Amino acid sequence: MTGPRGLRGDIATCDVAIVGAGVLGAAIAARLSTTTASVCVLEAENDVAEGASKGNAGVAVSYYGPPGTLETELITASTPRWEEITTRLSVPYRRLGAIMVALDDAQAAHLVETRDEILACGVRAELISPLEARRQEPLITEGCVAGLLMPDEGVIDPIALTVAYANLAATNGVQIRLGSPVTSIDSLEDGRHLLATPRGIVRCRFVVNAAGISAGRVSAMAGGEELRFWPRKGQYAVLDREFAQSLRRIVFSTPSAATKGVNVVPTTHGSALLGPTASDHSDPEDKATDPETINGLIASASLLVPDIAPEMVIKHFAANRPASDEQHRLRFDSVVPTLLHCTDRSAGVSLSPAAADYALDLLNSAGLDALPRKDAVHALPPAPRLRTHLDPSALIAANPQYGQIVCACEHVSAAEINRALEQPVPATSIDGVRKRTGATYGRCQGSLCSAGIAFLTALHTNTGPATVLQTARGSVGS
Amino acid sequence: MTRTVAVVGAGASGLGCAVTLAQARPVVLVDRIPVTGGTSGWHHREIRNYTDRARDLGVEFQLGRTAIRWSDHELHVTGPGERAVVPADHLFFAGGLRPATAANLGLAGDRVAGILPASVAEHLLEAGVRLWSNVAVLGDGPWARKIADRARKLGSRIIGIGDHVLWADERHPRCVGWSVTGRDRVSAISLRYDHGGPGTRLPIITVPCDGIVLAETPMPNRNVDGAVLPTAVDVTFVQPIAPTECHARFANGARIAETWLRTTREVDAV
Repeated sequence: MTGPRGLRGDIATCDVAIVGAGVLGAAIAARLSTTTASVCVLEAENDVAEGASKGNAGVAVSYYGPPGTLETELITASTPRWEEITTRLSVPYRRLGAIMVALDDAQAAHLVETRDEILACGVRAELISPLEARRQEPLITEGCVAGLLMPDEGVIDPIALTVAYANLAATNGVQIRLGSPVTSIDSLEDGRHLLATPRGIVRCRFVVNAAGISAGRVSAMAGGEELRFWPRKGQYAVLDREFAQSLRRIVFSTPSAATKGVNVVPTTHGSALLGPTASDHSDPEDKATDPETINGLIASASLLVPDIAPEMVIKHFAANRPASDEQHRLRFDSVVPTLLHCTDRSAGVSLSPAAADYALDLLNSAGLDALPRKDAVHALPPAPRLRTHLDPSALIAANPQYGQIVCACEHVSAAEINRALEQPVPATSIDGVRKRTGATYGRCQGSLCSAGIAFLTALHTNTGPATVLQTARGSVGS
Repeated sequence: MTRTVAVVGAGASGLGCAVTLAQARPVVLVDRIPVTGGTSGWHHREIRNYTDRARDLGVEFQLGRTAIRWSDHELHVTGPGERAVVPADHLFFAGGLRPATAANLGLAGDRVAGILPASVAEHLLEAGVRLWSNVAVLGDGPWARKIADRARKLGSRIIGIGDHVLWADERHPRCVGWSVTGRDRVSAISLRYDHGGPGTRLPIITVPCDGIVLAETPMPNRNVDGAVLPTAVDVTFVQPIAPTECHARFANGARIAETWLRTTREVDAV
């Protein structure tokens, strides 16, 4: 079939087209998928969670800013739900709690203000003595002069969360089109939108703009408001879990007016993340690290946790979050009434559950009329990991592939890798397997196992050793 | 307490340990792959000889199984469809070497497709896979030469970066900093020098390439939880960078095991 502008491909018709399969787009897709609304997701990259959703510290925050904003309201509404959501979607999560550390009197004064602001948000927080801070997290520096305990903060695997939202949506029949950058959005006479991509055309009543850093471009194509976004680069260092697994809590630095500062965050993999830094720039494709920033990052982190040493760093990376003059948007466009913007500066993971509910309410109030569907699936099959499972013998007894370790550092089994390659939104690259399982994420960074993972990935994607994708964008060979 | 000693890694070093230890103690020898030999290869004549000796001395082979944790004098081992706990009073870890990672090397810049550890590149090249047109081999570690030769046979032009890279088609001396450039995949590597690069006074030179192989400093593989840090309790690491020859590694493993046996005998006597 040939569509408008000579583009070839099927024209799919749906109620809602979601542009962007980061954590917010995927969360909204998952929420709408349990209703009678028909949904299509268009993602420019060849995998979900390719932007800020894969490059963040993995904290499900309980507090991120002053009370009275929609962002805060959504975070506060999401916070108590994590245990239920992550169990239902089989996503790694631990409510570790966080301690914000003050290193001098000025920071200690700031902790008091922060405590007051957190309480005003209706969230728990408690000022604690340096002694108590170090009792709760013995790795905190002796230079700590005051602490702020935030017991409701948790660590989550943000990539697994995004993939799980997408898998749930796909299970309920949502079309997830990867490698489908939107190239134009036309308005039809009946008020519908026509979204063109290199892989087909979608006609819909509502467009959800969850395109992160590209959301300004999407709004412009749809004839909407001028939204301005720019990349805020954050660099991170990953610490070996042989050290990091002894961390008990998230350790935050006291934010200044300029920046939230560098934090020490245990991950659900057992490693720890140091970061992020924050520098505004203009090229969203620029995700380069530089040694000066990484060294500075490690130095800042070791002010909080002095045992941190440069030789514990097993990886560094950078990612861009979508900075904008409006820190959070979950509202209809003021020009195009059926264009719903959904973007956040940094807290997308933390507010995603409530944001998805709120998006559904907004769409319904604008005439979507989506009703709960009786046959909808709300939970994903359990996806246990060998390394963190309480009873590995039972896992291996149920599926022999659990005993076959592929990634030796992180103890990721063939069962987990095959599951990643076979799920509704499967891994199609070595990096896609890493994102879903943690394989190659350890201290040898795939020196030992990436040949084996490449082989399994090639088998599932019908490629060869040179043509198999290493990342979502590029193959092993050139 | 059991007198069993566990050895992880059935390459030349691990076999050297196992054969020596087995003359005094019960020995369990574990390796991820289902054959002995490690990087020397199972078909190596000396390896087969060492393996026969180990078998004759009663070494219990657990091949095709991965050791994942060492704690409270137990080695936790898994294999397809099975999980076992090996009680042992000491662990010899002979898990071999791997190339330094990007983080180990301070390799900055973009993280894109086209960067491979030497161990993985070697594996693919051995299968006859042509991977690149212009490949930058970072470092002059033990893999570098072999990779360069194989890649060239498959049609790649080799850019060598290091002090001993005579085998390369384009050569750059060791630098003080390196950084990757690329969007969808590697397009160049930038090398930073203290006093200007070769034939130039510029402190940074940019070398176009479509692949990068990390072939610098060998580092010890450590992937058994509880046997990673040098401070691990009741663990002896047998992961020498030199010697590299099969028989010398065997002898080195044997010597380390012998010393340990002598010391523990003295402790027992006291």
